[in-house]
Amino acid sequence: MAEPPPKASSPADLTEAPASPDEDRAAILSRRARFIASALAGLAGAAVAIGCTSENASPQPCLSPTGDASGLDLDANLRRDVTPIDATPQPCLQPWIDAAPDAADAAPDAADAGPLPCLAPPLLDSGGGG
Amino acid sequence: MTELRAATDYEELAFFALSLVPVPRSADPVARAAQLPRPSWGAPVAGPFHEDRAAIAALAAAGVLTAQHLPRLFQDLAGARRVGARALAELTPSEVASPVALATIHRGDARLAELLFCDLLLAEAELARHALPNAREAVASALAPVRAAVARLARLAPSLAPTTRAGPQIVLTSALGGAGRVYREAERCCIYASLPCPTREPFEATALLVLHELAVALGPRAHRIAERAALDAVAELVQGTAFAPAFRARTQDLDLRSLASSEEARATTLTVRARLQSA
Repeated sequence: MAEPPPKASSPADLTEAPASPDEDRAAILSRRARFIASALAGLAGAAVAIGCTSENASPQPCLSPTGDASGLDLDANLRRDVTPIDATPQPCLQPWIDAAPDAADAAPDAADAGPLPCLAPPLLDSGGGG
Repeated sequence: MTELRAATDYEELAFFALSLVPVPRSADPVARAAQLPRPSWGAPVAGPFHEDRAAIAALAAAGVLTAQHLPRLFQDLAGARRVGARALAELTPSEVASPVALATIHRGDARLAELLFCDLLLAEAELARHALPNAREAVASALAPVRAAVARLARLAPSLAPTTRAGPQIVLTSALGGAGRVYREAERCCIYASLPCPTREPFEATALLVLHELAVALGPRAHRIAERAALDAVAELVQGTAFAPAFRARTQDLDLRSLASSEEARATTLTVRARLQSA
C-alpha cells in the first residue's frame, strides 16, 4: 500500500495542515475542469495532433508495437525473462460486442467506437457476474 | 496454492473507469484493442463519468494506453484518496503502489488518466454504494473455484504454478467484462482476469484467460504476433484435455483478422509454449 505522502514531498504541504475533504474535492474539481478544457480544446482544433507531435504526448498510441516482424529474439526467449520496465499492459481478449459506453449519446468520437478487433466471444453478460 | 486474490475496490473502479473510454476506430490498433466492455454492474454510469463523456472520448485515442496503468497505481481507495488533491503528474514514486506504472503515466499522454482519476475519486462514494458490494460478492464466490481451475491448468502449464519463482500474481475482477490484462512490471507479472460469465462459462474459462494472459506476457511486444502465439500455444497445450471444450467455446467466435497468421507466428508459438511448460 502506498504510504501517506511525506510532508516535504508536496510544496503545498510544507506549511499547511492536511487538506480537508472539501479542499481535496475542490482541488479535484479544479483539476478535472482543466483536463476537460484541454480535451475540448483539442476537439475544437486548437490542439491538433497532440498525441503525435507534442513533446509531452504519449508515444504509445502513435507507434507500432515494438519488436520485429518475427516478434522474438529466440535466444533471448530461453532466458524466460518477463521483461520489466516496459510495463505496457497487454490489452487482449476483447469481446465482439459494441463496448462503447453510451455510444448513442456520447461525444463525437464515441460514435466511432464500434466493435473492435477482438479475441473474446460475445458476452451476453459482459460483466461476468460482477 | 496458486497466488490469486480478489481485486481491491480501487482496482475494480479503475477498470470500471477504463471501461467507459470509447476508443475510436481511427485509433492505433493496439489502442483499439484496449477497449473494454462495460461491466454489468447493474448501476448507471456514475455522474462524473457521464458528465465528462465528451472529454473522455476526445482524449481516448491518445491516452487510452497510458491510462491502462491506472489500476496499478494504488492498492486501495485509501491510497488514492490520500493523494487525490494532487495531479498524477505531481506524484512521486514513494506515493504510489507501482512506481513503474507512475513512470509510464508520466512519460505518456496522461490527460485521460488524469481525468479518469478525478472522476473515479468523485464517483467512488456512489459506486461504493451501488456497484461494489455486488462486485465484491461475485468475486469472492468465484475465488475458490477459479483457484482450483488454475491449479488444474498449471499441471499442463507449470509456469502457472505457485512454486515458479517468477510465476504470475493473479487478480480476479468483476470489472473487466470478459477481458484480461497483464502487466509486466517486475520479475513477476500481474494478471487481471475477469469472472466467467455465470450463464455460459465455466470457471475453466477464467483459468484459460489467465493462461492466455501469461502466454502474452511471455511473448514478444508485437501485439499481433503475441496474441496469435498465445492463442495457438494454449490451444496446443489444452488439446485433448478437460480444458479443451472451454477453450473451444471461448475462442470459436473470435475475430482474429487483425492478428498474424499461425504460420507467421509459428516460431513464437513454439517458444511461448516451451516457456509455459517450464517450471
